[in-house]
Formats: sequence, C-alpha cells, structure tokens
Amino acid sequence: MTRKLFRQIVNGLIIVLVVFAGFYFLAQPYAFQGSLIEPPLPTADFSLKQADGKNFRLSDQQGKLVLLYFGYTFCPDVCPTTLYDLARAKERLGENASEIQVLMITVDPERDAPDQLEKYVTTFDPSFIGLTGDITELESIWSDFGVYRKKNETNGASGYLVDHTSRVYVIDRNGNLRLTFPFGMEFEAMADDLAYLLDSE
Amino acid sequence: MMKSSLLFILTILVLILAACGASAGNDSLEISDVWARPGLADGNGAVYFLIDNSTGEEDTLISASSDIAQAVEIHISMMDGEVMQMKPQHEVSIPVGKTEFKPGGLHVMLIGLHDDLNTGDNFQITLKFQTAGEEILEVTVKKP
Repeated sequence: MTRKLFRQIVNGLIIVLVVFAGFYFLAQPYAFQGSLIEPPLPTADFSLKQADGKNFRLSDQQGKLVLLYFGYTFCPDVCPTTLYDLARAKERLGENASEIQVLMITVDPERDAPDQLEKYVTTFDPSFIGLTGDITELESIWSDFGVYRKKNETNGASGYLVDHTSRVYVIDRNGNLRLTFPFGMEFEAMADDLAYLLDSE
Repeated sequence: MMKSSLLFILTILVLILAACGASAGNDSLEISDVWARPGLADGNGAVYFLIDNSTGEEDTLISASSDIAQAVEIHISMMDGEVMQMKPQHEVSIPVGKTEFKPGGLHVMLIGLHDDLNTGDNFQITLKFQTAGEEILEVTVKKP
C-alpha cells in the first residue's frame, strides 16, 4: 500500500517537473549562436560592378538576408572552408534558401579579376556573387565594415598572402547588420540563426 | 596465350612486391585521411591528412611536392584575434602521437593547379620527413 502511494507521488512529481521544464524552455528567447549586434547597425550602402558588367548595390538586396564575407580566391584554406559552410547552411534552409544572398568582396583586388572571382564563388553555389572594384571603392567598404586586411610578402611561390578579418557579416532584410559568424562556426548553427531571422521578420 | 599468362604472372609479382614495399616501409609513421577540396585550374588548393607518429621519436616534415600544381608549400592558417593569417612553414615538427592537417590549420598548399580538381579525382603528393624519408600519399578530391 505505502509502496503504491510512493510510486504515485514519484509519478506525480515527474509530470510536474516535465511540465515546468516545458514552460521554461518555451519561455526562453531564441539564443543566437553567432554574435548578435544589439541594437542592429545600419550598414553603409555600396555599389560595385559584377563580372557581367551589371551594378551590384547592397540596398537593392533589401528583403533578402545578405551574408557578406571578405576573402580572396588565392586563399586555399580558410576562404573555401567558409564559403563551403555558407553553401551548406544555405542548402539546409530548404525553400527559404532563395532569401539568402551570399557575397564575397575581395581583399586582394590586384589578383582577383571579376570573372575569376565569379568563377571561384560559383563553384560553391551558383547563386554566390563575388565582387571587386578599384582600390578606393574597396578601401571605403573595408573601412565601413571594420575589415582588417594586410598584404604580407612571402619568399615563396605564393608571392604574397593577405591577412584578413574572417567573420561573416549577416545583414538583415532592412539593411542592418544583425549578426556575425566567427570562422569555424558549424554550418548547422549558422542555418539555425538564419532560419530564425527569416521567420522573425 | 603464352604472352597473356606471362603478363598475368608479372602483374601478380608486381602487386606482391608493391605490397611488400608498402609494409616494409616505415609503418610507424602512418598517414591517413588524405584529401583535397575541389579546385580550379590556375587556382590554388589545399591537402589535408592525419599523421600518426608511433615511432617513439619526434620527426620533422621538411617539404611537400607534387606535379599537380606549379608549386607546393606547407602553410598554416591561424587566428590572430579576429584576423585570419596564413603563413608558410619551412618545417613542421611531428611529435609522437597525432598531428592533424585540417581546414583552418596546417595544410599543404597547392599553388597554380594545372587542371581543375573535381570530386572523385585522385593525385599524388610526396612528403619528405627528416627521419622517415619520403612518403608518397594518394590524395582523393572530395567535399569536406
């Protein structure tokens, strides 16, 4: 008899606990896995020529989430790793993938010709856009986004390498900088953050 | 008929010798999971692998070479705060245990690929170690 009562009490406690845990988790706001920019920062608009001669203007993208990366085609390791992860994150969004635009702006305009950039970025996803421009245009964009970029001469066959900020900038549908993704962030985590941003706005 | 059976025997002999060669080589510096990401002709690439050094002594990787590209160098990517840097490495010490060449870290950089590298392609690179000597690796091109 007492054993039965004890079991009933335990069962009751378990139910109460599960219900509370449910409320607790439901009440939690979404925790971004990238670094949240709070409040969102308006981005400075820019316009650069694409390989096909058309102008790409950031403000024309409003309504889409723009993932902006600064890299260079000569970079064999970190840039392809990042672009591949962005492609996988985008793919994971399924039918919402069309609401994402991935951009790579070069940090190496000397070596990155427009058609070469386009060929490079589209190997990861046909929708990716690679952009270059003249050095003054690029310098002003780098500075607007706080991008550090430095050429380092090497004695080897690579000629020079470029140190650069490795974060991905997430610009929301209203043109505000909302999030950044650090290098090495799992693509599943990026996709979760992007799906939340797409749903919540 | 004679010719084809002779060829068969020769092939078997070559296979046996190759197998002996492989096992008689340095079997305590094991290199596995050798892969490269797809790449474009005239562009660059990177090769990654895992070295397991159970020789009991530290070794040093002193060079990498391949005829797949104009030049081959050993590089490391490393974060300095928010900034990603890539630096050529003249040599890499390979301590006892595992040393991983992986994205965002140590890698063999292929500079100026002669042809596109497509998923499923294979090619060879040679690593030269101070103690273990030359190791020829079979690289598989794949997406990570």
